[in-house]
Amino acid sequence: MSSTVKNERESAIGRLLAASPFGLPDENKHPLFSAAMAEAFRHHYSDNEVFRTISRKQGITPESFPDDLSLLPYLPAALFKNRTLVSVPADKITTVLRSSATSGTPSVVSIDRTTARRQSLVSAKIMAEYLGHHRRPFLILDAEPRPSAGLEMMTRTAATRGFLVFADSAEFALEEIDGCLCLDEVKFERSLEDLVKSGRDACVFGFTHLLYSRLIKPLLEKGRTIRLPAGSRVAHIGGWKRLRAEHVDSGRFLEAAARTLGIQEDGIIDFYGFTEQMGVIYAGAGRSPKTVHAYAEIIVRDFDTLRPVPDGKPGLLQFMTPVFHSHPGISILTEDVGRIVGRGADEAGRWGTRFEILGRAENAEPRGCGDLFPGMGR
Amino acid sequence: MDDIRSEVYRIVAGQFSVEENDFSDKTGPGDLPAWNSLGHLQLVMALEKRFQIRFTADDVMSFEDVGDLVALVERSVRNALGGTP
Repeated sequence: MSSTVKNERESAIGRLLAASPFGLPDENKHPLFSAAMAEAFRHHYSDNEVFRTISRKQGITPESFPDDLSLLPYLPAALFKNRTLVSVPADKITTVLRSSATSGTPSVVSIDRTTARRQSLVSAKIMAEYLGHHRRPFLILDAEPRPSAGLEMMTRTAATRGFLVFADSAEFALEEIDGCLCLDEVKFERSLEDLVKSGRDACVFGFTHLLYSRLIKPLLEKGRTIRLPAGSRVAHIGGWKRLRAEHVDSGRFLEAAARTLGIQEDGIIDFYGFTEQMGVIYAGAGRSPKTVHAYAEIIVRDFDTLRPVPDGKPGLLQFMTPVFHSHPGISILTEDVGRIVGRGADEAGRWGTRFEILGRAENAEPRGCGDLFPGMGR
Repeated sequence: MDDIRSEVYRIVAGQFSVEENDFSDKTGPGDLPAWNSLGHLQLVMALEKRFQIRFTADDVMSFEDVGDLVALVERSVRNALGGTP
């Protein structure tokens, strides 16, 4: 183990990331989270000019770091579309993530080893909470990612790969033919048969739209059902915009997925995340809202005044997390609209603020998660 | 255990299409172009097959570099043979 990793574990950020994702009541989380954010703030204030300028304009410096985190400066997600923001020397960057903007400019974020290590740790701990701690076969409703060119990687590829920590095998069920992703039915049926014979619980993973359009909808149309082995999970990510156009909301999706795949709704997990804070994901099982874990905080801001709104009121979602070292994405105002629906421990005993996503802000650029499908967005 | 180290090096080199002297114990994910998450899974599966061992999800996300990986394989092989953890 390198000395960098040892030092990290002794830092405020390291102590926060060592905590259980859903085991901290607010009064225990706040001092840990606040100290980790202060540490991250100091780094970006010192090493990123844009972040320092914005912070100074709001009167926030490392010496005046506020106890009320809603006073911390935030960067609009759109800022990452216009420039490359980095807080480390260029030779430390190992990956450049690029979102699949369906029109206009994609978001670009640069990742170093410290950030990558934290992203892997955080995403794996959250996934384990919902998918279980064991490795299992993965059936992925996507095409096998092509090798990345240089340092660049599309966020869809990065998101898929992040889930593979929990795989002990991975079958990619789609094939790209003439720019279209098609289900290889023979291969998929064979993989399913093998799974059922083995009796091992599996995970069917895919982007929400692909999972529905390439697997669930065709099964519905054929009147067919599959019985995934007991304990299996369906994990999906990427949002609802394309499905809303087909009049499929999360309730209808859940009902159809549960019926066609022979799985309880609670075994179907919806993951939410975005490029600027890649890896810091939020999950909801079945019809439950998503819960903010120990490694982040959510603030909902008024559309016009941008002041925090009371729980229950819709607004723009802001997420804070100290995970990011290579770029100043520690406090991002997204273009997603949502509301806080609960706080404290939920029925499953998970501590954290619960929220739901209602859609995208009007006039927001339709930023999709599909690299291949124009118009596919959240 | 020297055999395990050289075998892990051979498998890492083969998996990521590099020469064994192109990396060291300090090399980790991201340092070699093909060592991404998919490459990581393929490496894990190749090691499990070669040494007839099984890693947990915690194991898979715990190792930071090749040195950690060698230690993990040594420990797993020892456990599989009934040695002390």
